[in-house]
Amino acid sequence: MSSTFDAFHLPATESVDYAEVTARALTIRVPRLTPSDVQAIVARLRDARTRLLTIPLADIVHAIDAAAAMLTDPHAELYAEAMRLLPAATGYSPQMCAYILEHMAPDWRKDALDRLLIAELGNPAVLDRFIDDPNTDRRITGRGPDPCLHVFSGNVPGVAVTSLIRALLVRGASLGKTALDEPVLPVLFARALRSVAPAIADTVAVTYWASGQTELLDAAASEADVAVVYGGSDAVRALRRAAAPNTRVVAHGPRLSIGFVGRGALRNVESARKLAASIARATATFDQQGCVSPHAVFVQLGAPVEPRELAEFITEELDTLERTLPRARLTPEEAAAVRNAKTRAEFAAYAGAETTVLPLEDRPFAVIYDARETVEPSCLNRVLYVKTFAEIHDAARVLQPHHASLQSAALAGFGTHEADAIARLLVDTGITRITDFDRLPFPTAAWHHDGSLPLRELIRYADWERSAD
Amino acid sequence: MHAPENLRKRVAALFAQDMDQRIEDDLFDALARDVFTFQFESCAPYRAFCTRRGITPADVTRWFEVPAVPTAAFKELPLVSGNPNNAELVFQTSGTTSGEERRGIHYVLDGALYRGSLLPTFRAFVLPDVNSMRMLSLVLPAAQAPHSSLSYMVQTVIDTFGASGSTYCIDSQHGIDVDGVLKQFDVAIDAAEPVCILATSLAMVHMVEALEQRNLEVSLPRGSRIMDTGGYKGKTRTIPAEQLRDLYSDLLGIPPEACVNEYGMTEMLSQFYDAALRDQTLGRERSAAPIKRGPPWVRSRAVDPETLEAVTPGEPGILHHFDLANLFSIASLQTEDLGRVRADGIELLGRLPGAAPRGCSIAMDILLDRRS
Repeated sequence: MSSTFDAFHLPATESVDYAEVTARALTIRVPRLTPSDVQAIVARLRDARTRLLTIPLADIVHAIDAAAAMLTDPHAELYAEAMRLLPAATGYSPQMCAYILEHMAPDWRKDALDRLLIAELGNPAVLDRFIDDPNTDRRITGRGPDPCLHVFSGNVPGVAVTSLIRALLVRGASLGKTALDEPVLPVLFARALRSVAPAIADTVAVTYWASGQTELLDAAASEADVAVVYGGSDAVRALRRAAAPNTRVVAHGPRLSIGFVGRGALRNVESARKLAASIARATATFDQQGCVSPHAVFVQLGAPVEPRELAEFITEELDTLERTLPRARLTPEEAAAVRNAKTRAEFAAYAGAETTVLPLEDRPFAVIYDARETVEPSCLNRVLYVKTFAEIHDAARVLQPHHASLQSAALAGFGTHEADAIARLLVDTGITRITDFDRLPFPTAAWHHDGSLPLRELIRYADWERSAD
Repeated sequence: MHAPENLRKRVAALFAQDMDQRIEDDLFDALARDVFTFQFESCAPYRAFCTRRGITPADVTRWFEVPAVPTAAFKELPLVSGNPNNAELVFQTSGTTSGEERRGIHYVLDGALYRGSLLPTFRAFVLPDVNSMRMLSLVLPAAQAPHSSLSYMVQTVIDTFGASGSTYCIDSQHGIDVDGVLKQFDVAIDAAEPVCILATSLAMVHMVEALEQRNLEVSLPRGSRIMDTGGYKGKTRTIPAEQLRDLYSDLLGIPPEACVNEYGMTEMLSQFYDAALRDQTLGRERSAAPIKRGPPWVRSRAVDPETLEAVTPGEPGILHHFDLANLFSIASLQTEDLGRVRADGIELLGRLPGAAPRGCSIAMDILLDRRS
């Protein structure tokens, strides 16, 4: 039943030599590229991008919107293909793939794109011509990358599409290198784009090569104005090494998100249970693989519902979710990591630590109640740490060792003033996004992704200093 | 509590038996039950672990029903069936590449059980044809690595089977003494006496690279051999196992069947070795796949990494070992090592990333880095 998927969208290349690679349950076919092939691809992207500079922004937005519609319309053929390929490639359950696509797709539609352009650029005409810079006496204009290299990761399907769309919105050309875990959506998106606007699709190239093929990364990175990388430290380091001195590197490296629950949410069992459902859903989404996924939730002591009780409620809610949003089948490595985390917490308890692994039996999720004064990143795949704190400063101090990796913080159960003080403290500690548990997995399109502006960082601005006359 | 002295005698008696003599299932299971009962009663954390899973000695018939402790647990607390303060030997795992993680500790109450298990096994698989041999160790002497189970093992082996002239060509200050090794090679060649090199795979990679740099090839006397161990997928140098064997053959004149790779872990007192040299020496047909075998007092099976249910025999899974020699710690161990368990032995497929490398490969890597 598993057929081979052509996991590339490339401007016509002379290459006829293909390789087949199997990841999990999907076999993909990709051209065997050489560094000179990469250079040829970039040359064609640059040609196409010259034409893109003349296409009105509204037409580009319209084309993206139409392509996104094809990819996310449950009745469309492309959607069916995505739903067939994604679970095989990523290991995510079909329900999870549908759930992710459903929640990512609105960001790719016209309304969200228009809002993103305004939110980040103020006046998007800056991409067309020199405009007056409202705060200075100069005029400015901006150009997108020619091209932008994207090194995608496989943890969250859809992020690659968002990344390609960001480059298109600033009229940048894109060379996307997919991860073996998710070689599907960016290619399908590019094909959809081709069917609605071939001239625009010509500025998008997507393929896969193994991360060990450094000569290809070198060739691509040395040609790129901007290189965006998603993934672990190794991927980020590899790209930084490969990039030319003037290539702007935008790194979305490994991140850690955290939740904080105040006494206000723990006044009674009903409100605690309701919150537990939100926490469980945020944990289950992406099977915790997202940079926005919570690794630990800090729960305040001294409320009628104790942290330990909330941990039990979260466990029950994770159990319920397993029916509607089942976890992925794990690789042996992932299963071993989960067992390791659970084993160590269990034996720490036998050594006298205040830790409990919930539930008692082996299930595709776990909540580790751990009252010790340290926090470690989760092994992921629905293993959530529940920590305790009396005052928020204590929790912030525990997070300090991870400050360089922190990203989102979800708050619940704090009063307005308290929340304000906590938010400021957390930002001081390294957090770049404050939200609630319901919104945690899906930031808005215009978010300051890892503390930066996703469109602006792709743009090369030009100033025209006017004489003072 | 069961009388451990009697149980200890029954376990130690096994060490004298033929390496190829399978212990009858009934006998093995009876011993496994008694060992489990003793450990359940004398190791409180293990008892808690079993109780949480609803298993007591009364529930167990076969060895594989005894709850297996994941080796990661040794990082959290002493897992010892007795008083860890009475440990004769204290072995530490070598930590991960990052060096940040806690180390696992194996308290060995009875060193005689370790020696009793390791010596006949080493003899059977590394020296199946001779009583002794000149040994050349690239593993640190035990005095310089008091918590390395590998160093202890090598020293025990040299003390027992090392012919005169056996020596260490490494120290913790200067790392591997390449010139010293070459001199020992010359001595062996002049005397036409075979030499047995004991090393981590990483140290062998270092040695092979040194020979390549000096453009040297030696032809060690016939009968020379290598026992190497551990993951050599170190931080900087990675050479696939087959390629390493080719290099041993090209640069040292040691044929592939005389390279005996050991598979062991700090938490377990018994070891596994490549069976090829033994099988060839005994005139047996060799297995198609590289097979490792341990002594008969160890039983192994492969389980599903997630469910821990046994996989179909011959299919890959993570290895669950039951080592009777671990009488005074935990006998039933769940590893993170991928492998197939076949009728003729274990086919080791790798160690799951994230699992701490054992042996002293990483410590060795640091040592080599410091030197270069």
